[in-house]
Amino acid sequence: MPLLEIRDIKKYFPVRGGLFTRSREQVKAVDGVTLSVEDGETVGLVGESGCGKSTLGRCVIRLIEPTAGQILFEGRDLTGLGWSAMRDVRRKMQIIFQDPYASLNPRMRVGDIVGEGMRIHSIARADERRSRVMDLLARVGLREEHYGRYPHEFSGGQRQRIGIARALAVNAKFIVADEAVSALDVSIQAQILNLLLDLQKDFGLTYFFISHDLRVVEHVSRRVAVMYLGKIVEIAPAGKLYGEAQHPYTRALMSAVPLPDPTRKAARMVLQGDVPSPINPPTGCSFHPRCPFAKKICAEKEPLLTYDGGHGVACHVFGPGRTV
Amino acid sequence: MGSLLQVRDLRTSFFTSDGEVRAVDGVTFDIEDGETVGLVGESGCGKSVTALSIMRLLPKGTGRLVGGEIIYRGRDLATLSDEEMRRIRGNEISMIFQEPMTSLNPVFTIGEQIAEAVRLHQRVDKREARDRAVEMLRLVKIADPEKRLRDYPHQLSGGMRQRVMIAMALSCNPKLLMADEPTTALDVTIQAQILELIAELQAKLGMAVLLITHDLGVVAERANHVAVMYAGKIVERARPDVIFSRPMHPYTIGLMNSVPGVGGRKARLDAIPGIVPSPLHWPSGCRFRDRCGRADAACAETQPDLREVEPGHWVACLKAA
Repeated sequence: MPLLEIRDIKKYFPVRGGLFTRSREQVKAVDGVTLSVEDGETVGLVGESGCGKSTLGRCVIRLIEPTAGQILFEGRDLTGLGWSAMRDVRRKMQIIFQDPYASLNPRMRVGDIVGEGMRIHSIARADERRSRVMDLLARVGLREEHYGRYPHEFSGGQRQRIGIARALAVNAKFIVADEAVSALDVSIQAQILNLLLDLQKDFGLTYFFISHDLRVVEHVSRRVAVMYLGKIVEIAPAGKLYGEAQHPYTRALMSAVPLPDPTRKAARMVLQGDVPSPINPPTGCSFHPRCPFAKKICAEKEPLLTYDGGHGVACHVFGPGRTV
Repeated sequence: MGSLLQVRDLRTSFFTSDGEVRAVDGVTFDIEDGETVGLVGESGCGKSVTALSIMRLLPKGTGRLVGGEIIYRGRDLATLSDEEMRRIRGNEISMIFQEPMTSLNPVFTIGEQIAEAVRLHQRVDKREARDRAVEMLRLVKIADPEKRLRDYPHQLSGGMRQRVMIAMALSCNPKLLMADEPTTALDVTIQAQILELIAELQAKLGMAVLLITHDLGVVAERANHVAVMYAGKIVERARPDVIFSRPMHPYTIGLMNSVPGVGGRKARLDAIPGIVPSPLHWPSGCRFRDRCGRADAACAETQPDLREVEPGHWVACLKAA
């Protein structure tokens, strides 16, 4: 049984019209995503700004309420759960955010930030709490004297370590890392990625790792899903996706990544134009207006995510669901 | 034949209430006509301040050039008056920034803003300035330029705004374009479009580019020369094929090992331990020694200068062979 299973998750946001017009349009931020995450694995989610990846990350732990669909965590459907039952589950599902400046309360000391979850979930008695927090701080590479300091006294990388300690404090099993290393310099990013991998091994954590950075996602993930305009267009084991990408969008995304290797002169597939608006997404395959391989059917019919083994592709022209 | 730009021992400090911040501390490099020099480094290494110093755009009051020469086509920019410098900016050297939204004025149309840039630097009337704006938008491949002239910045996507910034920067045919993290705020597919565009325009117009970035991948692909900065200094300089195949400074090596590679490698990254020292108190000797596995007592005493370890390959490290 997978640790987490989401079925046909949708999140539509209403678009406010003028003062007196009622809202009729909707942004389909997440538009029917089905995905499962096994215990102990890392599933990566890549996509560009506005593709819905952060919204999806928040939906799976119900930080925002999905419009439709099911979320099964340890086999239990979370979508109908009441407030207190959900609070109990949430202990096991934590999130680390991109901006370590905005996600820590500036008026709280580090020790209290990390210990707060333990208090809320009654995990440790007050007298034990301090030593547990100390252990956690050491575990994420911070020092004892940091316990009484405030967030502004730390660098970006250290703040991200605090956020990680906070997630671990409540014995989380499943962690959504939403662009958790994107704001960091590369040398600090490498330190935090190593830390996340070490903790995964030691605590048996499961990560849902969201990032726009393909190099980072590939490095940490066992499986990678690619999102475009609210939908998963391709999903595969990391090595396979990078070696044998099928969907034209995935291929364009891969070829756009600049590599620190001046000898590489691979043909680059430069996409034309911008991502279309999710308010009125294109008909059929939402990638067809930018796709160099689009056929007539691509504008008419939406391609379904079709699997061959563990490799799913949503395309009429390439992959197992090929129809032309 | 001299270089287009020769920066010699450039020193820039910020004078704050906490003391003197030596943000750029003895930087030397050249840019030849038409070439691309990539300046790489992490936050706070002084790469942006280097560009702002060359442009003489340091914040008045706190930031100051405290030493060195900036020889542009035989003239030292460091000694020019503000009035003379204004004629250099835009006409000779232009700059584009990371965040195109904050560099554009939200209350004017992009047509008005490009035309303004043209009229500030060239004696043309409104009509000609407008025609020039259309021409520039076409040059940066914005579809339907006559119509787009009437758009306000908020109506454009991030990639389009950066195109507009490039159009504005190039409207007076500069010889040198300084691009400070021009694609950092953009998605990778849009980044590829913009980098492609800059390279095309460079070939067409023959300008040189100083490309400032934190992304080693971007310089590997686009630069003719690479300079790696750390703590206010250039620590290594070479052609990209040399520096990426034989990096010699421990910082350069650490930086390269920190980037996860696409396709394969699944081990832990060889991260550089520790963090960048504070520019208020640079350590004695080599500024990287606290984080360096090879450092010894000599590194704490001597500040290493750039040495040419093989033709065209300069390294500031006592341990580099």
